[in-house]
Amino acid sequence: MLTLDQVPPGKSVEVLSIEGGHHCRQRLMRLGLRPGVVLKVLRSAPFSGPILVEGEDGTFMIGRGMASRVVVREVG
Amino acid sequence: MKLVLVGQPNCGKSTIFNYLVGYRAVSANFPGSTVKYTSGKLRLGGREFECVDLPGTYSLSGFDPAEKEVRRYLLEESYDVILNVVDASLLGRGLELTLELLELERPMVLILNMIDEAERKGIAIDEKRLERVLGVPVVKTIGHRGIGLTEVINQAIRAKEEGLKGHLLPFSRDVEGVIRRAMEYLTSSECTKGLPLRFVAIRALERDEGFREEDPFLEQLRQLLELRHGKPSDVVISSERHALTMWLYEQVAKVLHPPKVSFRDKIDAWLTHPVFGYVFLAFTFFGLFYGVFVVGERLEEALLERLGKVTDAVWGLKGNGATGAVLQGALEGLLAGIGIVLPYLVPFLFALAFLEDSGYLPRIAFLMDSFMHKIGLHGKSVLPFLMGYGCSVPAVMATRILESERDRVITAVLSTFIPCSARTVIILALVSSTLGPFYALAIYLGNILVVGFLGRILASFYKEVSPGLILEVPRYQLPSLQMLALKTWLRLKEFIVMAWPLLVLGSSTLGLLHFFKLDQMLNKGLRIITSPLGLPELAGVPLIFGILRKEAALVMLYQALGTKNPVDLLGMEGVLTFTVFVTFFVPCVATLGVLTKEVGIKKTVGVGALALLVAFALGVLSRVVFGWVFT
Repeated sequence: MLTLDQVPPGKSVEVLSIEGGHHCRQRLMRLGLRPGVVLKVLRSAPFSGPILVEGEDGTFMIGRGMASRVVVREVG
Repeated sequence: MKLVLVGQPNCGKSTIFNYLVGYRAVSANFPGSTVKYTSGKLRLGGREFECVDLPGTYSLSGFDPAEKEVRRYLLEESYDVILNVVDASLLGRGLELTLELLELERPMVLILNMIDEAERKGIAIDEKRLERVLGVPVVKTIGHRGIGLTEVINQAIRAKEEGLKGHLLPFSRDVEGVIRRAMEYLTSSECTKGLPLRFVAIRALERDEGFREEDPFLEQLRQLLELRHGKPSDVVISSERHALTMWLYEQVAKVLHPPKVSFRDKIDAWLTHPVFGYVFLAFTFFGLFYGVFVVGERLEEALLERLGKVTDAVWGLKGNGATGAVLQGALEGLLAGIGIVLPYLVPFLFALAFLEDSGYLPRIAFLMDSFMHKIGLHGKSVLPFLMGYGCSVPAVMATRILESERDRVITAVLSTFIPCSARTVIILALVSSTLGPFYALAIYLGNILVVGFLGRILASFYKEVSPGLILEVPRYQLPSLQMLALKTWLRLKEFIVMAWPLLVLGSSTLGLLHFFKLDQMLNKGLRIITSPLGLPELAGVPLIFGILRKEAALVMLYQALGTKNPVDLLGMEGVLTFTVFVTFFVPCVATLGVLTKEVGIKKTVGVGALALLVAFALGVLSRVVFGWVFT
């Protein structure tokens, strides 16, 4: 199972599901990070800092903890 | 007529608000720059309007206190028209909030803001079609240039008069069926507090807080949705809204050409680079303070030269009786405001405004996240800290963008230790001009280390971990000179109205105390602080008056010593010790006030005690260290 935090920069992925509770899911979904969406991982901050992802609707930084709850598959 | 601006973070609500009612709300280029609502009045065509600027929110189910405030306001307060602001370049996402707002069934105007940015991205929007589908007026605007804003007001009047509450777009048939059953159940059971029935039904199915999460019948319906769609009910509803949004987007928007890899993307790759990003960050900070110091010093010299005669006259004045002493003190305070504070404050506020509006701050959060983890917080806390360099009051308030109580308290407490612009004035005017800018830099760096250390200690009091980080990163933009000037002026006005009178009050009190020889008594009493710090007795009262307003410590020190060359009397280590003490000493009254409101009186008293302890310990430390260095 591939999660968002394991994706190397420059790769595009499709979100398959979001694990975790109601709260975590809602926080991600209202930013447009929901199953079916294609994201591009732009960069990751050093020292296991957050990752920068570009979606259809803007750019976000997501902490590793949260990113590890987003199940994805590589596309393109 | 009351209009409320609602929209997602960083879509330009405050900019539109400022344009409509005159510059009142500080806007900046990062999500969450507005954390409380501001209201203002405007007149147009002989009618008066009240306009309310709410904080940004991604949806009506709020998570942090700023978002919960939006939800509370929309559900409980009375207002006439919702002005829903959408960043046109992010139309797809913005429309989801629009659909939620339509469920409220209130007169509404949809504002497609930053339409120029959308065109640059190659997105063409058919606003007439959007208007037909949604059933509310749609207006295209460019907020920062004021384009389209008169039309917004005209359409708001129309929406109110014609009762344009919009059409409710239907979800898929089986979901609608479940919603209808929930609605029927709710009509038979109890009232809906004046909210539309359908809205309450949908919220309940989403398991939204405060909408009867425990009700067994509604729980059955939720499970029905989960069973049919194979995902939690809130995801089902959210996906329905998303599908509608996508359908709507395809109906009204056309992508004319693919967005080019812009210049801004290339800059961003450098600014968030794992190595160069930090180099640039260090340069930015060094450049900021050094630049402000250089400009400030020039201005100070020029001003003091002009004011020289007046100052000499005042300084040499021998007051007649108590009134004379008070008057002289007041004049000294007034002149110190012009001659010492403004030269550093104005360039600093301007430079800070530039940083805020450029969109660089969230990138700092990105770079600093892992360091923040070391002190038990995460990158989002960087934003309040950075605002703390301007003023502790908005910094403490900015902690409302954080989701967890724990993060809010720790960040609020720590942000009061960040040297605000008042303390920067002291550091630059006192240390930088007498000992050189590198000593000033050492104070800033030392401060960051101390804040980090305190953060670790505070975090150890809380067992729970901080919730994950998720933060939107806005576009870079080149701030307009006019906006920067307005913002600097707004903050300067606060200094003039709030702080300057306190400076005058402080120095006239000192004049009075001096006249009655009371300052000697006070200073003797304060020897328990001044003598371990190795400071002369005279510095006692000024140190304490820093509580009133941080600059007061500096102004009154000059006044008490009767000189503008404190090194002669205090020595180099004395100047540094004084500055270190004032930097960490109990926050000013305004900060204590807002801190009490945000974290409670108990913790605020704790912060005061902690600050006193830290300031004292570091003061003694710097006396020892610098005493050793300078001999």
